[in-house]
Amino acid sequence: MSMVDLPLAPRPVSALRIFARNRSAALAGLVLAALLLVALAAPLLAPYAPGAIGVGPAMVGPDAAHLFGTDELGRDVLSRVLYGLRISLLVGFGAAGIATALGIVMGGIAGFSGGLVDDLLMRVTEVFQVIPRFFLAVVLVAFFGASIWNIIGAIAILSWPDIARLVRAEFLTLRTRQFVDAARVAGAPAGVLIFGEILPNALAPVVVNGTLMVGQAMLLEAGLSYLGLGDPSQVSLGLILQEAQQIMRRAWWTTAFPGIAIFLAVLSLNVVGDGLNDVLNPRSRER
Amino acid sequence: MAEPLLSVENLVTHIFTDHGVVKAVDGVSLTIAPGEAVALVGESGSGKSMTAQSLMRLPRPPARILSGSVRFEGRDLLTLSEREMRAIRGGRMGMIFQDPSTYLNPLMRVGDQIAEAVMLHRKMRRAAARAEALEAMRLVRIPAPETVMDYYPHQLSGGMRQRILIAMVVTSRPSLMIADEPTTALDVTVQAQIMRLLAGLRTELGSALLLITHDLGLVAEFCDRVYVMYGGRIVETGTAEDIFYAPRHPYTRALMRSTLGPERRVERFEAIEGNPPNLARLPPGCSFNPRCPERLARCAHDAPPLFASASGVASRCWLAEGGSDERAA
Amino acid sequence: MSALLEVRDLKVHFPVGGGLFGKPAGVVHAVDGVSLTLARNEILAVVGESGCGKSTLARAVLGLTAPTAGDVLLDGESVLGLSDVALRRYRRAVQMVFQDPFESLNPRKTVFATLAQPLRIHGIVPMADLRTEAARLLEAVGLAPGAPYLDRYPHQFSGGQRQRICIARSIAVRPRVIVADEAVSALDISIRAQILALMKTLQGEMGLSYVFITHDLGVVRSLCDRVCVMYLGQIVEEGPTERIFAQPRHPYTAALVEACPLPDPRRARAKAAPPLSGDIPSPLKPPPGCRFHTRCPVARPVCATEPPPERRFAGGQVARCHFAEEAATWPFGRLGAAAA
Repeated sequence: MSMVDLPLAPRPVSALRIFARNRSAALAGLVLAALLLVALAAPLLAPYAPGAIGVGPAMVGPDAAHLFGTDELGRDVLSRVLYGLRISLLVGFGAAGIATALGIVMGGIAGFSGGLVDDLLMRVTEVFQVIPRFFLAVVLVAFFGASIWNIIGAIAILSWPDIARLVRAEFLTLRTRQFVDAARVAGAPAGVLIFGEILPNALAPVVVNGTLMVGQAMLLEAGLSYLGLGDPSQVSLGLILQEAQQIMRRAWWTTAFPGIAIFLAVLSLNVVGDGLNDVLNPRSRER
Repeated sequence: MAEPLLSVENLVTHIFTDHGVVKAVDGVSLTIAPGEAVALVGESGSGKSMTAQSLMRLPRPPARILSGSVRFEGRDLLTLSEREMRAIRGGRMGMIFQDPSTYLNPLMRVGDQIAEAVMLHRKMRRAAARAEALEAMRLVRIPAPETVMDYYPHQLSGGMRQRILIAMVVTSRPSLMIADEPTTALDVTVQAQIMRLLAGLRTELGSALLLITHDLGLVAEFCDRVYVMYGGRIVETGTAEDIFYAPRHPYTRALMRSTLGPERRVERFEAIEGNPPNLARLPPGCSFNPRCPERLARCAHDAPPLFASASGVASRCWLAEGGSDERAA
Repeated sequence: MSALLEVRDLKVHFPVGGGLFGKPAGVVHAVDGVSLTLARNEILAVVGESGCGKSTLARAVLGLTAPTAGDVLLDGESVLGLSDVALRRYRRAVQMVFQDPFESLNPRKTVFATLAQPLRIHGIVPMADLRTEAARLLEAVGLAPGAPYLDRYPHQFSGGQRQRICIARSIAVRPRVIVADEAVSALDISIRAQILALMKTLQGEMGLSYVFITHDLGVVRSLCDRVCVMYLGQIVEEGPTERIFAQPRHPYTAALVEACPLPDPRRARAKAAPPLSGDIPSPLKPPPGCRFHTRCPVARPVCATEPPPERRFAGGQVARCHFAEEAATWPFGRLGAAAA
């Protein structure tokens, strides 16, 4: 409830402060930052190349020489997890980025135009939404081939409808807001209305959803890889898991470490997403 | 004066926010006699709504009632248990809010909602409660109440919804109705109907009315006595005649001058300069002093008490000091 | 008196219901044949309750809503179906101030960005002077000195200050007409008077004309030169402010005056009971005959069948009521007349 008409109110509570107030979000942010840093620095940090065979004895548990142990081909699991994280995060952010961009454009056009354009675009998004997602991904990847870029593309194509619907809903309410009319009266053309007036106000939920989508995309990729539909030339966390499934019982470290990495990444992304929701929601700022 | 129905002494409700402590209600005292119509007038951010909510003990964290007493029908509401308080709310004390739609369940027929309100306070069967509801709907002059009973809120106009809310309040025959900006969301012609209805119910049920409003026109038409609120405090009080025809506090005077009624053309708009104070950072001394055209040197550091005059007007202003007996504020 | 802005027989109808292939379930006659003129330097009030079509009328005049029929003319030239260039020229001449200062400023834009937008679009000042001009505009609306306010966001201002910023935006292009849609309704009394005073000052300084859309007859009486009263999409009465208040000639006008709260206890308590009962009928199905007859306290059988003609009275007062001549005998609506 805003009862107080603050003449020249002080600056709102800073975004950082709200975020920090939510301790789990702050912690998750730190974890995510660390994971990103580690993934980026994989070539510097990894003791071996991810594909290098026989860098140590096969199937040795974690020890001083191989912190995460080795797999049945004598590859260093630590190196593989570091590089795998790199690829998984690339897939996650890449797919979510493309899906978000596509969703903003489609949803923005639908929501801003309304009427027939809106109806048509929304029917298209519904087509994508009613097909079981994982199944379609399998079909797409099987059809176009399992390169890492195809996988990113397939996941993006599956994910944009969610963002599109969200953006459309935001645009539908925002376009009737008085400040949009005010800009129109000032003579602003449609492009300025969409990108200068409406979009900045619609971004908050999109950013939150995009963040959550990164985690979903990583899981989807892991699932595809696990089914053997991943890009065999790129070591992703999913691929590591898939290769290790035969020896899981005898060498727990070959699945546990990549599993923990993916778990940490997805969990921190989700918690960060929720935290962002609090930060970006203007109501939580006025408390 | 006879034993008042409601007597509030030094009520203090603050809101604890990140920006500091908002002193929304800062030592408010007021009384309401049985059957009396009293106005609590103020602009937004004056603390009037928080005062009304505090009477019902509604404030929730971060807002907190810190001190004072609210004596209602011989009991101090601030010392009652939450359970006893629930019996008072919607029982002897009813509240009518600005926006009726937020207080009605959109998925429930309005007749059932009124019946629920009845059963909340009196043990009775559903059929009997519905009969009570019908009676209440007649009381608030809803046309064809038998039919309207089965409507959902969205099928009713804003004015009708407000009548439903008033019907819920009158089922318990309250001795005090608190109406917080009850007509602000309504059209002028509907506002006139609702205000007349409230005035009529006051006579029919013998209940007192506390009208929280910013509209001096409504005060003039419907209230016997007036409390003017500014910066979380009562700055002036008296009968409606006194307040309108002989206001003494510069804020009340300025408010009167800037009020535009349909009865005369004002050639020059007389505004109060500046903005209402920030309740989290009230100026020292009299909270009106930065905007006051009649400011004295002492106003900037000495907060005036409420000075009562022989006529019964009390003004929180140093200019009212002369020839009056000082009353504890 | 040559008209600066003229609205001729304007109609705005909205189809409602119906989906992609469905037929509309009905048509809302939001504005249904409205004609009015605005003279230079005049303040014209358009008065009515919610659903009377006054806001739709404003939006149609501003080109925010396409009219179904009729015409809007500036300096005698039609502005409907204009090319983009001509529409932009019209936008320079006719500006708008909205009701809610919390809603009509983009929360993500600084004051400077908001004020610079119209300046840039219409090329009012060279790019290098945008900041100086924006600061000057703020000073013109009483936010002085303007420069320190430019980089703040709307939420850092109070309601009254925001409305000043909105007014600054509207005068940025140096318009000739400002349509103000309930521009002071959301403001506190003390702030309201400040904004009205500002609008009147600007009128004098810039030679502005206003279309002032409101439901508040108190403001109308003190601010406006002429009044149009709207009910269910039509103008039921119009004329000079003082004439309308001295003797309303349409029962709806009279009822509005009677319902307007009167800040004077003795006179307010002597008021008659509210003459109107019930709510405004749906503009989906306006009543036949006189649209007001369903609520009119002085209606007679003819009102339910015959649409009333325009009755003209001295001083340019026009009322659409069969019985406008009998207005003096109505038991309500004379609060506006001088106290006896």
